[in-house]
Amino acid sequence: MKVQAPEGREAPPAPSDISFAPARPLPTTAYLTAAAILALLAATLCYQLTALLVTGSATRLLLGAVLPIAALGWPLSLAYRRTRQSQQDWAARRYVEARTAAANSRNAAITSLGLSGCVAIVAVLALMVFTNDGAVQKTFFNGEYMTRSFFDILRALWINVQIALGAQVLAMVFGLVLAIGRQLPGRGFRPVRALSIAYIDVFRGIPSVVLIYLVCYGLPLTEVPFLSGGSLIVYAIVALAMTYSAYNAELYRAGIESINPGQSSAALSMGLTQTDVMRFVILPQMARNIAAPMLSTFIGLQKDTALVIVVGIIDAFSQAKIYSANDFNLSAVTAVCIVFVLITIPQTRFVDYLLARNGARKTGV
Amino acid sequence: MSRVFIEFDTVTKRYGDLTVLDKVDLTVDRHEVVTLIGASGSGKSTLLRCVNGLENIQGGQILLNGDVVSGEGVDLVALRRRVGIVFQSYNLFPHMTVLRNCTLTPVRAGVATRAEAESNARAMLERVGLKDKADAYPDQLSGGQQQRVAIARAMLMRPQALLLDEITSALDPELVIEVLNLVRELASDGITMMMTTHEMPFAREISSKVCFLHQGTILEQGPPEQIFDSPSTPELRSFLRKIHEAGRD
Ligand SMILES: Nc1ncnc2c1ncn2[C@@H]1O[C@H](COP(=O)(O)OP(=O)(O)OP(=O)(O)O)[C@@H](O)[C@H]1O
Ligand SMILES: [Mg+2]
Repeated sequence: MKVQAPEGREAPPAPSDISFAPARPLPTTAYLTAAAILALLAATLCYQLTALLVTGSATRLLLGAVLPIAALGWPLSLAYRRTRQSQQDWAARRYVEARTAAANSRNAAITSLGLSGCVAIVAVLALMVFTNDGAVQKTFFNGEYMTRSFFDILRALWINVQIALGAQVLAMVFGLVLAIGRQLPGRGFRPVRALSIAYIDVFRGIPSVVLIYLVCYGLPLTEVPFLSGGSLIVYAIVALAMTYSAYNAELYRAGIESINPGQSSAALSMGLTQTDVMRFVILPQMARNIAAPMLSTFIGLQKDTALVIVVGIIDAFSQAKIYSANDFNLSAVTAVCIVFVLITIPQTRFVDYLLARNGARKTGV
Repeated sequence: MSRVFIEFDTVTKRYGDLTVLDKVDLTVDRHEVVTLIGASGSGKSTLLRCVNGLENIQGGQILLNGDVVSGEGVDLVALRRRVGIVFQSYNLFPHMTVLRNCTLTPVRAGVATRAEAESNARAMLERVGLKDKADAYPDQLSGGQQQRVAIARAMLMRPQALLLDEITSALDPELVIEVLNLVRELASDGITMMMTTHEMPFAREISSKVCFLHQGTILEQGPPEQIFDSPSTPELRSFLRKIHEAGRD
């Protein structure tokens, strides 16, 4: 005779029944404890911070204690209530419900941990910035110094942009030449392969700043016709392109090697020439493979343009350095950091967009 | 005009110390379908890949229509336009639509204008039953559909011979039939074919000659009835028994 559960479903047998041993809910104690400790820590830090920034004791109490405790306490109390719920369900032999509640409790505890962790980190950073009567803030983030230097920095940034674009174009083209050069088949091309590899080995190893120094100061001294007449900026472009073409060559090579060899067998078997196989089959697939890492190297190159300060080119960084030396304050230099970060973010989004569009087109969305 | 179209004359192929093909003699007549059978690693794929110069050989020579096509000084591009090959793994170009996969070589080889190539390709796609897939990308197709595109792509160069390397091995059983039907049709059109397959009933039905490869040598060759019904070497008998036990005959 089977017992009918209230909902009309069949009631599972009691856990004491040897033949039926339902899996226990996931333990949640450790999660709850950790979440509680971290939430307490975060709230304390918030209170410290308001002590530093806010005067009126009522506002301090509100911003430093009531608000953080309410915000951080919510997911924590949710996690706690779900654990209680799970225990009650288990006792009532609603095993599935008990396990679900425990899992939900864990999720809430994880949310709480993440939230408290972020709040704690931000609070620590803010404490560092505003401590010592705001010494850090005044040194690095002085709004007045930043705005005063900002437009000159932007103007000087044009130099960095020119150098970066020029060097990138050269490095992409020359890097491809190197990458193809080092994998040309057959005995006849052995010297070409050797030369490509030697170039990559050497120029990948030389620090960019040293190369900039050598090229920009060295070439004008040599008085070699044609080579010695250029401007400093052109030399800087050449120097950076020398380094980055070696990086790019390795990138291209990895991109080519990641393509299934069946692709070129098939393309060759159809009667395409080697050049056409490269152009229509290998390079387009490689381009897709390397777009993201290529952007990383390009961003590396953009940042390396600041190294031209060693040869006296007035780029964004060296402009900011002039300001900071006059002001006895580093805020102008912080502004350069912000500018560099700001120009890289759209590039990353753009490459993400390109890749997503390619992916979407391939799957016909 | 001689009847022989492809001729292997004591062909030897080595990878380093490993001899993969050992003095292979074989002739394929015009309009003939020759099937290579043999255990895995016996050298079937290698033999096919030697015909269109994807592998170079270390001894002997290969002749196509009486002219040597192995060794130095061969115009491989021209050779490959005469001899198409289709692989087990399709190898369609994933970044191109089906149509562009089919028109790339005819256009680049200058055998057709883009417009001609496209109308030829559409006609061929219709023939392989994929008319409405012309603008799809390869990864939107099933394995059988991809393989039919690969065959269409090879046929569009109007090759004089077609090499098929285990073109159904990567396919689910219900897709095998659609590809085999296509091959059957091409064979009845009279194209010269060399193929390797594990589909023994199909090999028996379609081939004019079956060759049994064993460790890089052709141990037996002859009409399918002779090979399948009265094998004379113990190696072939044991191979056929294994096939039978695997339920593939
Ligand atoms: N690139 C290579 N380098 C060295 N050895 C190779 C290479 N390709 C093939 N081989 C060897 O050559 C032999 C024949 O290979 P092949 O691919 O022709 O066999 P197969 O008969 O097609 O086998 P399967 O039925 O598994 O496709 C094998 O022993 C294989 O290991
Ligand atoms: Mg094979």
